[in-house]
Amino acid sequence: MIDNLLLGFQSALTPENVLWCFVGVLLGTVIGILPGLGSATGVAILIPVTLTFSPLTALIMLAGIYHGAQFGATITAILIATPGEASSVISTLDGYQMARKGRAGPALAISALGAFVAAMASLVVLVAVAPFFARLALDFGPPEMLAIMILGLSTIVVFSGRNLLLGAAMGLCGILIACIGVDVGSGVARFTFGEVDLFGGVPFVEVMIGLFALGELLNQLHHGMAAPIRARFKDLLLTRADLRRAAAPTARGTVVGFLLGCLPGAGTTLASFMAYGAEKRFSKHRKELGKGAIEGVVAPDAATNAASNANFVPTLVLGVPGGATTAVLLGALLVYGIQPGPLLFENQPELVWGLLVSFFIGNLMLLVLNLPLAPVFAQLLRVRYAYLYPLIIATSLLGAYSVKTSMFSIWVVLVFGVVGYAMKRLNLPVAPLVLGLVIGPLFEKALVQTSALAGDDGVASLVLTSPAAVVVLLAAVALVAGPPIVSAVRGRGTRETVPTGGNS
Amino acid sequence: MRARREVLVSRVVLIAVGAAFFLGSFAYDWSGDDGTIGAGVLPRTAGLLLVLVGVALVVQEVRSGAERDDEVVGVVEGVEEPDPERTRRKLVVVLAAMLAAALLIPITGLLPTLALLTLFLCAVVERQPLPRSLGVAAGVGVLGHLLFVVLLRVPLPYGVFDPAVWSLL
Repeated sequence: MIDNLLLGFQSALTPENVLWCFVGVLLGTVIGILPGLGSATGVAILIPVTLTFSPLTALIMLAGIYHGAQFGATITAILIATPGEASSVISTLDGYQMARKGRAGPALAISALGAFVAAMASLVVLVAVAPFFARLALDFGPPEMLAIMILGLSTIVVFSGRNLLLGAAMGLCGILIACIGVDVGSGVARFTFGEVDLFGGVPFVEVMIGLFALGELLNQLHHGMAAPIRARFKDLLLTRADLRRAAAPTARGTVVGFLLGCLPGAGTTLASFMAYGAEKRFSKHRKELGKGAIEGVVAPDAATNAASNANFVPTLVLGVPGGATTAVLLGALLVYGIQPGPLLFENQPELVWGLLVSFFIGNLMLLVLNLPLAPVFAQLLRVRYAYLYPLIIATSLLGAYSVKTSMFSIWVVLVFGVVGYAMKRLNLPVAPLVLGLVIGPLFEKALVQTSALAGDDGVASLVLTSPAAVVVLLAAVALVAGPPIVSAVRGRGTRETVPTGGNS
Repeated sequence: MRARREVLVSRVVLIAVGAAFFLGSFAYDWSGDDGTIGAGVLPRTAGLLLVLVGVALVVQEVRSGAERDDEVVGVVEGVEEPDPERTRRKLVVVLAAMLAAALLIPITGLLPTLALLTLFLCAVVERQPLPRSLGVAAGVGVLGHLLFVVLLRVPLPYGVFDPAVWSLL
């Protein structure tokens, strides 16, 4: 492991990579702060900008945006009760109440500190477990991968929102959209209506820009914004009592976040809500939650950061995205010609370890940036949305066009912008659709390969002879059947605690 | 306990999408010549499942409907809702402006059209001061040119502003 880390430091600590990591976390923080933009949006919009970079530099910058946006999103959640990310929705409850009580500074500071501690702890575990999982996954053939894809699809359904059926429907929509284009198995063009632009499938980056950037922007025009609350540097000071109260929630949030983040498709939103739920159950100050308790800010933020790191376990090891943003990053990997999966650790060690080490560097930069500069970032909230959203539209269309230098990309962005807006207005969860879009082709590929191996015996017989595949399938069954059973036993819906429409 | 019309419509749209893919999938083979999974398997299965899930969602909506609106995780006080009529008007104008811009791009080029779109949204839709709106629009054009054309060397369409068009005259 030491050798791998040294290799990672060598790759990540080049002046160019450090510079782009800094640019990434800075841009990410700004993107997280600005209403209407989130990590998935930011990464999707900026993929075209990174096309001329080396893959490692591009990924370091995009991962920096991902991490930075988590921090930035919390700033808006605390100061104007507008979560920049679905995962920071829960931070608005206690964070905004703390701010209204004149404790915006400590809320911002404890959020940054808790997120940093969680990020570092989860990264140590990530670095330790990822190679182990990758070695384990090396023995995986098409049947095992098929089982993993089924597990991924199951987690989408279960963790997609309070309405299990709705999550399933959106996941299926994603899979169906992914069916458009040339079929991986037979090479037949499906649902293209002779349109050459559709032979390569519905372009992923453009769909993401439409769903997240334009969809969120149009939705944002519907909502009024709360007046921003001032945060000054001297207000950031935390008391010893604050730190004492934050220690246990940070630890709990980190554990909850990391465990949930490792699941394919679970994302960071679930982690933040579960961490809040854990505080409601285990915290000594649970009666203060919702009224401006420090636990309600630090635990979800710690969980979000731990989950965002853990999301890279399924993404890098299995090639199955951990959440919506890692799904976009996975799309970026494919755009750069890199095939994620267990062989990635063997074939491209510099890329994998350089990327993982850059997470440490990026999080350190974020702490240095966020603690003293939070009040400065907060000033960005004073940029009028009247100027901001035309800029987002222009950037989205420019970025989309430059991916393939095609007008078709612009039309895809517009169509999916309207779709994304409609989905948000109707409370349809976006994340399952995105994950279905990503996992759909992978699932079909594994299915075709397994059917070729199985021959006349059938796919099921081959899958069920693999112990690893059976274990994974049992996990999938437990995930789907577990919550309704627990809910029936308890006599109340556990799904009510999970929000609909998570983006990550 | 009543069904909400817009929610019901969205569920029907889901059923229609599923049905379209299900029926369309019959144009493709269920299995290949060598017995492998054919191009029709995934769209047919997923399409049928979407139809079934969509029907279940309609039933769910008809049975419980608006009742689920009460399921709120938390409420943040102090956020004002804007005037819905004004918001609706603005959204229609913004969408129409984007559509018009997309149609104009092949004629007037990408950057000039986006600069024009920015100016229209800032000055006309949002009623911001004209000099500042002009500044923002010019910023879009100049920064877009520097980043995408100069730095990233992306060949953007310039429509009638393309020097190649003028050189023909």
